[in-house]
Amino acid sequence: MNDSKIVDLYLARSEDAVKETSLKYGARLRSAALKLGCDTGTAEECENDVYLRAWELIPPNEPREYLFAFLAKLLRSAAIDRLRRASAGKRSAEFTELTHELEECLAGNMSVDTEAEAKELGRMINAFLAAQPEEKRMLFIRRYWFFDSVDELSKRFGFSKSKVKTELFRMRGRLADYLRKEGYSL
Amino acid sequence: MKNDYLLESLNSVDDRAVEQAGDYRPVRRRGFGLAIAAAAMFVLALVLALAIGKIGHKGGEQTANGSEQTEAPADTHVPGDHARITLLHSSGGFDSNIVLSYKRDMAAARGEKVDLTNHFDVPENTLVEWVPFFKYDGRLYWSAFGELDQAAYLGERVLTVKEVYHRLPSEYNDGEGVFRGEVYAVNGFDPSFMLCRENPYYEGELVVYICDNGYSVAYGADVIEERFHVGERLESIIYEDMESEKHAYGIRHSLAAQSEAAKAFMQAIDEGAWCVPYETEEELEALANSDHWLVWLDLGDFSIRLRILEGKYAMLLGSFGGYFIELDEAKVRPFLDAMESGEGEAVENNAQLRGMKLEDAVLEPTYGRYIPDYIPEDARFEYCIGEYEVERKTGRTIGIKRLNLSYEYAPGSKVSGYINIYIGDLEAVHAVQGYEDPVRRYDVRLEELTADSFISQTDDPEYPVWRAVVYSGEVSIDITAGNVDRAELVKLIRSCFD
Repeated sequence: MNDSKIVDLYLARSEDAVKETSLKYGARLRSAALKLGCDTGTAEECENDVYLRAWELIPPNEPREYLFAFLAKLLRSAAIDRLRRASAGKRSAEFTELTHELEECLAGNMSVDTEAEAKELGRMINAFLAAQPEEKRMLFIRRYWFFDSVDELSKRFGFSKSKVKTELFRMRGRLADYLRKEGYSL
Repeated sequence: MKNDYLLESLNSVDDRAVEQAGDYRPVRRRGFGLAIAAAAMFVLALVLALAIGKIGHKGGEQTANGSEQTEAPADTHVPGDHARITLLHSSGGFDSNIVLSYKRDMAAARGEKVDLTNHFDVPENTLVEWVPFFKYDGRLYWSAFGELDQAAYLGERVLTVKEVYHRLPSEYNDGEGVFRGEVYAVNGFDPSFMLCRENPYYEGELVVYICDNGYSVAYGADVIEERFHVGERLESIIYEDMESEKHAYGIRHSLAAQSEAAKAFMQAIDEGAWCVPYETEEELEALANSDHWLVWLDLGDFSIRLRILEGKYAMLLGSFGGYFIELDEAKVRPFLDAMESGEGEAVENNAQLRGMKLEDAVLEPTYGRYIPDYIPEDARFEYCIGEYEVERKTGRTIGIKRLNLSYEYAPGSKVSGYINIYIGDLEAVHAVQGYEDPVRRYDVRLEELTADSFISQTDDPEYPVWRAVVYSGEVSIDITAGNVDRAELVKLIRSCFD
């Protein structure tokens, strides 16, 4: 079933909406949750969270053209929330590593400790990414949105691992410059 | 904690950018100099098996043969562990894949290094013909069943393939293959998974090449949905039982994609975990040959072949030969019930073949036009199929042309009869073809050829498949044709020698 028809089911408050969503995207969502560092049980919980949130958010949203992104965003949010609430020792190494990498973009006195701060920073990151060449933008999103490892990025983009690391390093540097020039401060 | 919400800031990234990134793969040009060590003789042996459609496993251990040894990726596990496996190879004959996947998985179970390319213990100087592949980005792409419409699917140019033949034992490099020409992305498909080229014989059609090796997968959807996009493309599910399969004109049924049974099946496939449901090679072969259903996922443009075993395993054939998905028995039950009760539209398999006409034949060259003189004089070589052995005495060049009598008789299945014309050493020709049956059984000299010289390859008088190998001097013609007028066929063959 195509995405638009699935969204129609949500709008019609048909219970088949969740069933069709699960049929089409369930495996991808679980797979994404596992990549984000969840264990199998947590991944299933996150998936169910997604269906519940999608049911609550459609309507008013109508993500006919970007249903997967819409669901993936819900999943990412649910998964990160669970990981953040986990004790430091239980957080995935990937979660910690990616946080550290992004911290490079912030000046020493900055921090992002609330949802409001995250939203403000996100708005600026979004503007920064929009101005980047497509391939670099995709690389950045795959790394920090989808949590792709360097190895996975290397295969996906056809770069050597060192090139992936170099590109990401440069992107973070440019983002840091951009945030500074735009007067970002928290 | 400081920066606890840092990663959540990315949630503001534009939805369309995320949607795009979800499937994003850059299309880039590759130079020929990017030689990546891999794919040695075993590859060519598999291709040979592909050409012939059957392969006889000879056992023995895998040998390096110059192929690259790579550490198993961290997420490669053996079945029963975390149900995450790595697809490694590709071939048309499932036996070869079974054996290779078995060896790979058992090696992983022992904690040994896993070969991420492929190996096969093939003797040196193995002759290879009809090799429908090329290498790109370190991986092999194999021609798949079906043709795509050029107007809708032709994407950006990816590389130019340089034609190479029969360099055994040797390694193929990026940009080398069995044809010469441009290769393109396929619109709507990941270039690391599917590429295409223009069909040299049928204007407006694309020949599809699929890479199914090197992917780490957990669930059926990782391949079925992520790469084939079946959820969006499925038109129907075609099935045939094992008994019907044995008949040349068996019955296939077609279930609409919207039917409840089809939906249940696709859900079971997508959610099923990849697995290796065997421990010994004997168990594997017994399972693969046990009672089963043949199933095609008909995507309109091409089809994906499956075999349903024991009501709970889906075994991917063709490009994905030899890999198993474990199905939830409750979820797949509606589909099994539908098959057992014969639901859906019934179509006689190969019905088109009965109407084959000579005037519809299309003259076309085969993939492999030459067997160059790379074979050392008196070299001995053999195939990994059957017991056929040939003493090659010369390095003579053999020219091959093909006269196709083709009809589409199932989704993505087209060729049903052909005439190969060889110019060269007759024995070598048949070594190339690798027929299991004794070649001489079909041989006839040109001057002795009559309509009665043809021998049917089936035991069914209503469905003969006529075959003869006609030779004169250094020219031979191998004919396999369906329900055609043999007197007319004789005239055609004689004209080929003129």
